[in-house]
Amino acid sequence: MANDRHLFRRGPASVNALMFFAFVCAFLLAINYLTDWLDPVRTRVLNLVSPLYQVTNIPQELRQWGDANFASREALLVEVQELRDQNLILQGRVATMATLSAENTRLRQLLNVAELVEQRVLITEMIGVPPGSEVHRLIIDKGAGQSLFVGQPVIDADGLIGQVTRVADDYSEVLMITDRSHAVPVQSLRSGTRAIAEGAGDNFLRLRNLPVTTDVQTGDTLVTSGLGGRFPKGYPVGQITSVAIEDGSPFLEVLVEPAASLQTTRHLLLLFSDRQTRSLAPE
Amino acid sequence: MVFDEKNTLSPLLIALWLMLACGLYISSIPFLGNIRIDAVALLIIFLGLYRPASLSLNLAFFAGLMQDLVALAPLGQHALGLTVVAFILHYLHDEARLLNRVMQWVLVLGCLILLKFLSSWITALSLGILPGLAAYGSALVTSLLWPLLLALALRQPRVRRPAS
Repeated sequence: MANDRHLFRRGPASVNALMFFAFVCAFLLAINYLTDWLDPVRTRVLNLVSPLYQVTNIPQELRQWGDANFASREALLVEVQELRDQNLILQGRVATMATLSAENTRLRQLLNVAELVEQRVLITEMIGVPPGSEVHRLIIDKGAGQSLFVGQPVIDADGLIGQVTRVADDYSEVLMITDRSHAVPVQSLRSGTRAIAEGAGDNFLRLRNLPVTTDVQTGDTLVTSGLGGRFPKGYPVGQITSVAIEDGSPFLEVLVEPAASLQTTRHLLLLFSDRQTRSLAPE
Repeated sequence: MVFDEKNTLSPLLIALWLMLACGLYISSIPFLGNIRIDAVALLIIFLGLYRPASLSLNLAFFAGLMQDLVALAPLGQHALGLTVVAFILHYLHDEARLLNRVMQWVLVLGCLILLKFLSSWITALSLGILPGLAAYGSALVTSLLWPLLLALALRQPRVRRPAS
């Protein structure tokens, strides 16, 4: 009798029950993939579950804290020296960039290019990675409260990370460029060739449908082309690591290694683009 | 916990274990990269083998839905696999408990691989590409925790002898 009070009472594990649950699962999956009815629920769930990710990320944070606090004095001195050198190089580049930027503005005025795009950034921190090696996603600690929006580009110090795909109140989900459902328009810095880089899983991207006569080489750097309007132009996406021609195929098989540190990065930048239209009347 | 097949566990205790297992599932383990410990699956397999009176298909389905929610996965992806495993264990638990520990571990690994296989196929139906063998790494790592779980869950309580 006592068993009757149990919430999860054990019933007969019949084939009918199994078929019923299999049908319910198939129904839920079909709704998920074919409609967007569950989107509000998933956004609500993201808001509820994200704090849990923050808690469960503590072991990783402890490890990083340990790495940072138990480093030897010599190692820290070496790191400081490296950062000073890097800072010097970057300051030099910034000085050059100011000149280039002014020159660029003058050239734009000469060419009568009306639109200038300025990027505003917001620093965010990755708080967790949902399980599942097939889907490459991140959860970040900024949400609708900080004016994030779906489709917003996310970068790190080295290159493009991906885009925001779901925004909750204080958290958001980011789809990385290596995910198989992600694609980004790119351009080769060397030859100017444009292509679409699709996520290939396993920390790689793939350029598809490129004819064998296309001018691409191993080592080419790819940047965002700006086509499509989602990602701003000129952010590093990756470097071509292999170019192969499959027998009988009219297309190249090109693999690209992402420029961003997708597996290790913690601090990310969210890009806001303020499009300013200027009427440039010739003087 | 002393093994008693007919004795069912309290729903509250199961719910607590389930929440802990979900927390462990989404935890990033240092040095393991993307590999996660599928503690929810391990809990369902343990209940299926050693507490069969406590495991119903309803519970397995509910646990799978919870796992889907915390993993931000499509609803039903894990629920389907856990329900199938619970169904299989319902018919296998008597024979499985008679197996030695190594063979039992192989059975657990098989269940975990089956779960991963079903989950991978569901992903493949949406993305069009079947994940590689690396995706099964979590099944192997999770199965290595089976002996530890048994040692903790089936330990005999200490009985103090009355002073003579």
